[in-house]
Amino acid sequence: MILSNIQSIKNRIIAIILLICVMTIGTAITIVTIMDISRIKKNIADQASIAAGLVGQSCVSALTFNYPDTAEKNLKMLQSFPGMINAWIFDAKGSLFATYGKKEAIDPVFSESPEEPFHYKGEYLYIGAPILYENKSYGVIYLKISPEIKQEIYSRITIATLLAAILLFVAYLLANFAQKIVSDPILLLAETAEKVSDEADYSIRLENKNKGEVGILYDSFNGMLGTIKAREKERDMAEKNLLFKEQVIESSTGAVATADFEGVVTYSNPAFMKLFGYIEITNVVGRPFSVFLENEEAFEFMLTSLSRQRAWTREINARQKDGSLFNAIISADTILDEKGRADSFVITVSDITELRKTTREMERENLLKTALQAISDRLRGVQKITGLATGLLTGLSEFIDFQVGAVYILDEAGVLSLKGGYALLETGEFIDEFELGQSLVGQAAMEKKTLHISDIPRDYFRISSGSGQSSPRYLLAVPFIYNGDVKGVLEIGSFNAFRQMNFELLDRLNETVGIAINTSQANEKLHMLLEKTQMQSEKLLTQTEELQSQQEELQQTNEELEEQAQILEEQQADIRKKNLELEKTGLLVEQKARDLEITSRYKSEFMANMSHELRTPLNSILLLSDVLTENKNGNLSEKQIEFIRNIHESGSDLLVLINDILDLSKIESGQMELVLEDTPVSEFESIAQRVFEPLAKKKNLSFTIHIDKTLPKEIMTDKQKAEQVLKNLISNAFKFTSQGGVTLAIARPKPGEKDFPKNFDPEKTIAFQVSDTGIGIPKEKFAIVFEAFKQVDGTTSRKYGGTGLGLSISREIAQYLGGAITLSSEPGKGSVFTFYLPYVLEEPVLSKSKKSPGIKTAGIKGILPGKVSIPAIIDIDTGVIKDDRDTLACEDRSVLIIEDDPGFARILCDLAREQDFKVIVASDGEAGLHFADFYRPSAIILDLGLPGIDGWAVMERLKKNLKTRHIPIHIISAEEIRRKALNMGAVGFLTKPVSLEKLETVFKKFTYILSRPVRKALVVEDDEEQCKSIQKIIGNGDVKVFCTHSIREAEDLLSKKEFDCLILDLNLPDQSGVELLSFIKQDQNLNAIPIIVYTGKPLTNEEVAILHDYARSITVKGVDSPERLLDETTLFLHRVEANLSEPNRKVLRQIYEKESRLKGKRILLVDDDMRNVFAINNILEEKGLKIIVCKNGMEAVNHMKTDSRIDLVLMDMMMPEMDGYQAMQEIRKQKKFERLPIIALTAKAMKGDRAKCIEAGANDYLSKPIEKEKLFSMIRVWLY
Amino acid sequence: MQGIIKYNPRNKATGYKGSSFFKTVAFFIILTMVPALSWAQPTEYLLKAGFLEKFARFTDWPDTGDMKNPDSPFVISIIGASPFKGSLEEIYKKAVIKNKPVIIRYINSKNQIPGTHLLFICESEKNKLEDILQTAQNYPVLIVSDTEGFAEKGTHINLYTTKKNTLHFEINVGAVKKSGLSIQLVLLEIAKVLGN
Repeated sequence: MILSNIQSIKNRIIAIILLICVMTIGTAITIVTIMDISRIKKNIADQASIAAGLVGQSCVSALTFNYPDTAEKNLKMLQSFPGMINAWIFDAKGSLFATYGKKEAIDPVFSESPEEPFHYKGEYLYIGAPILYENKSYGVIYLKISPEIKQEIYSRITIATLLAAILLFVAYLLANFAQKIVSDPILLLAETAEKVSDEADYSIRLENKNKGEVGILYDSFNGMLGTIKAREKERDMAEKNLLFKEQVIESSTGAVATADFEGVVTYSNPAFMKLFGYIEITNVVGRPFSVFLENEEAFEFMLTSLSRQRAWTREINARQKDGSLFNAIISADTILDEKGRADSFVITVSDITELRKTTREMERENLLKTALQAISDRLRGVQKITGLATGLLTGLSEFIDFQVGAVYILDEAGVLSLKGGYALLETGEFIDEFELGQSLVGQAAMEKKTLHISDIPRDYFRISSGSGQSSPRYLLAVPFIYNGDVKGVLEIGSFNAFRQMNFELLDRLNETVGIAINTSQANEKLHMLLEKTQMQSEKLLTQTEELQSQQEELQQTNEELEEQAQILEEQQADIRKKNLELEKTGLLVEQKARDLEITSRYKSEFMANMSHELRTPLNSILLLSDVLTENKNGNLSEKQIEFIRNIHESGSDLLVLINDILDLSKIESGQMELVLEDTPVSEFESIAQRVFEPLAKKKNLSFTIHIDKTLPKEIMTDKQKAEQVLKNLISNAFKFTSQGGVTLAIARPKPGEKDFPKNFDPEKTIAFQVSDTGIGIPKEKFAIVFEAFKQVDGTTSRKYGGTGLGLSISREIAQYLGGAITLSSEPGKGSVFTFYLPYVLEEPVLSKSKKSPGIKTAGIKGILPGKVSIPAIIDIDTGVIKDDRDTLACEDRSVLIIEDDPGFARILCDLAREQDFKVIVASDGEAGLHFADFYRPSAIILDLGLPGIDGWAVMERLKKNLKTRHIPIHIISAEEIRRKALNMGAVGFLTKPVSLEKLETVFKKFTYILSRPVRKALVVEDDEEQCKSIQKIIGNGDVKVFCTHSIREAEDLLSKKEFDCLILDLNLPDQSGVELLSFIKQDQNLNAIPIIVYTGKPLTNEEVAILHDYARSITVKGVDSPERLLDETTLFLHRVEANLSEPNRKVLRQIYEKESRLKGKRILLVDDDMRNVFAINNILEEKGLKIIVCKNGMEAVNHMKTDSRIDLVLMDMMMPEMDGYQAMQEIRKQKKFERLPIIALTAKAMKGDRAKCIEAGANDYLSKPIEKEKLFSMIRVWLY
Repeated sequence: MQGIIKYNPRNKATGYKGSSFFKTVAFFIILTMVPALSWAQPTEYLLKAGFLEKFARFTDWPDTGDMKNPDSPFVISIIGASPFKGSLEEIYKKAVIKNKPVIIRYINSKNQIPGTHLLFICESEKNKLEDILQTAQNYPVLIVSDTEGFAEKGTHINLYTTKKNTLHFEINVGAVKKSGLSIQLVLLEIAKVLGN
């Protein structure tokens, strides 16, 4: 194979690749080319077929209609076909129809291979195609074509060949390149192998980057090389080794020779030569070994021994060249050949002369060492110097030949003292101590050198033993040095000379001994120190013991302390217990205090009850006497009347007394109320003047009053009480003065005044000094004077009257007010009572100050016939609201402000005054009612939120009262109840909070109302008669009545004029009464007009319902009688009753009197006090009221259960079995009596009584003693 | 590609079904008819008769049920003096046109035209030509004539003889279109086409 000819792997690979490429490419290209060519042929054939088909097709008609020319004409189309030679068309029958081309018969080819649509034969292409048209065969067309494909084929082939060539070339290049992959490593390997073998360098390695087989090859190659190298190395090593061994032997200092089995030297190393003193090798090699031995026998012995045993060693004398013998060790070994036979001997000779010497030295050394060791051992552990010394000597004696010895130790004092001796005689031959430099010993020490004296003269000293004595010949003094210091000296003497070894030994010992001595000394020191320490520790121990005992003492004290602590604790516990007890007692005390309180309360209640009990009969007395004084029946004589007046007076006096007692008790129990106000000082003057002038005149005494001008204008105190005190003092003054006069001086207190009480600031105190020229009071009686019920003289009451209570009360009051009363007097010279008051009572002494309810109950101060004096409202915060009640005149416009909030009242006051109204202010309903009645203001501003009586009730009563019903009332309230207010007749309604603007409008409204004397009323009534009658009823000077007959007219008029009231008949002809109502309701301007629906007859239910509906949004009332009409119009038009015409007034009065007629009304009077009952009964029965009496609450309740025709109840509060409160509550429980007026009659004057009554269910209350007028007015009020 | 029809010069029996037999028969018929017919005429009208079938073959009638139904006959009507003298019957006795049996009718009036598929207007109808045409044009009838000028007048196919004495025909394409028929290209290719 060609391939095998190619040796180079590279070329082989390339060749292979190329071969493959050729094959593949060639095959591929050939195939492709062939396929291409056949395709071309087929293409041509296809085209020809198509052409045939087409042409054939075109000849269908020609065939059908037998037009061969046409067919031929068509066939001519084929000429365009490249290479067309001939064409034949045969008809369906198979006969030739048309031809094209040379007139030839059809090639027989067509019949040869009929299966093929086309057929290439030779140069020509034969095509045959059936002519079909619509599945009908019309004939066949045959073509003969000479395809021009040669060109194509050639070109194709050329291209193919070219392509093949190129590809092959490319393949070659690639192969060239690719083969590297394979061949390069191999080549490299080959190269390297060559190199290796050339250079015999087995260290070369191939870098193996290959994987696979080549890699393995490389590795193996490398491995092989490695092995070779290793082997080489081994060999080298072996060689070297051998060489080395040779050299070793050559260079060895050991004499080595080899001899054959006969003992003839075959080799000798230089050392051998040297040892035996030979130079020429020839003198050694070849000579029998006996030459080198002492004698022949030795040699024979050696040989014999060697033949018997392999190895032989002997110490033999060897002979050198010059014949001298030397000590040697000769050892011989047999070398066997490969068969195990003795081949030759190796002989080593060692010169041991030196060794011998050394051995001897070593022995000596050993000895020395032993000696050293022994002595050291001896010295070790010896603590005492003396022991050391003796030990040393003893030890030395074993090794050194001496017969006498001594050891001196250098102590701290620098003295060498004898510490140990050897065979010394105590005959004082050896001196104990030397100093340095003294004697040999000292000298040796000083020089630090061993001193050796030989040949000592005979009698220097003697060595003696038991048997004799002699003198040593030799002496040695050896100093022992440690750390450069001499520690001691050894002196020894001997008969014989000291040997070198001795010196050496001593030398060697020096250090050890020095150390030992040092150590020993140190030890001794240590011992000493230890003893010292021991002593000290003993001391410490004793001290510790002392400490311990002290500790025990401490502990004892501790225990004592603990005991004490325990005791303390017990004491504490005791204290705690005591505390608890104290607490308990405290509680008890509290309890007692509470009990006391209760007691005092009981006392007060008792007092109150008492007062009630006292007052009730008094009531009767006063009341009845009062009645009698009126003398209604006129059947009493003057004297009788006088008597009665007397009775009344006594009663009054009694009342005063009771009041005083009550006062006192109140003061004592701390329940006195203080009403603080700014009181003008001048007031005191004026009151005093007013009250006592007449008395002074009567008694013909002078009464002068001085006021210090520098005093402040006002002081803050309880005016009433201050006045009371003052009055008391002045009255006393008058009482006890019969001639001269009384002086009241109101001034600043003089500081330093002897009676000026302490704690008073004279700058801030006012002094009322009452001096009189009366009987005076003796000093001893000063105290008594102030005591209750006491008078200076028991007879004073008789002469002067009085109960003696006054002063005590005054004093208490004075104290209450933060002041004091002092007295200075002399009998016969008159008395001076000074009443001190602070300007400002900062902290009221006992009771709390409150705003006064504005009206005081009539019980405290006693009754003043006639009007009740009502103090102005006092407001601590804002000061006095001064209203104008005192300055009212008839023609003044005044407004009554019923308002409990003083701030707001103030504002209203100011506003009213601005609007030119005088003001009267009432802070509750009752006051308001009374004021309205009494002062007859032009207008009222009423606040609904009043304490006590409800605002609505006030309103009601105001409107019910003939005298007050015309007064326009403007209601201010926090609630939105406009409708109700207007319906009740108020002119306006404002909701709180109100703006100033709105308030101004209120007054403007008042002004307007008041300034319009003439009111306008519009009557809508179709009946002329009716209209006229209405006019008559209500028409008067102050009211103008307009009549209209229809709604239209009415509306017209309403829009034109302003009306104050509208009277409407619902039954109008056009049924439009209701319409008018709705019209009015919708009109802003009109819906404030009050409407009265009057139909002349009672309203039907329908009408009532209608009215009810509208009443919510407009003011509308239904009336059913002329009288009622008058009433309502009067109300709505604010007509003053006095302005009505007389007949009308009568009518009204009749209405009201009819209503307010008491006659026939049934009053239930509940009171246990028969006298009271009797009195009230009479009064009331006069007026025609029917009285039913019950003795107590229980009876009353029972009665109420059965008899429900009661119109009013007068209920006494204090009754047995069931008191008034309970009774009221019981009665109220029944629903039908919810609205039954109950008036409580109470003697209680305590604060809160009023509230309590009302709370319990009373509508109102009267306090005993009862005022007739008041009783009636109240009954009247509550009945209606 | 279908296999080449075997060409065998000796085999005359291949191809058209019974064509050689037919030819023999036709030959004899022609022989017998020689005395009856003028030389040119029997051959001519035989040819023409044959042509009718060919015409029909290459014409498409509107695809009605009538045409689709192989049982309903293909009606050839000769209007006028028929020059065919029985050649039609002979040729079409067992022939099939459009898969339908052929019926030859001889009609006189145009009213008989409906139902005809192929109408041959004889020369005798020269004067009535327009009339006939008017009627015939409303029906899917292939109108054939062999009189000069007829095609221009409106017949669809008009047969004529060339100088070389070959039978040719002209086709009035417009007229054909009007009637709703369509003539296949094959036919049009060899015919003389008149636009109209």
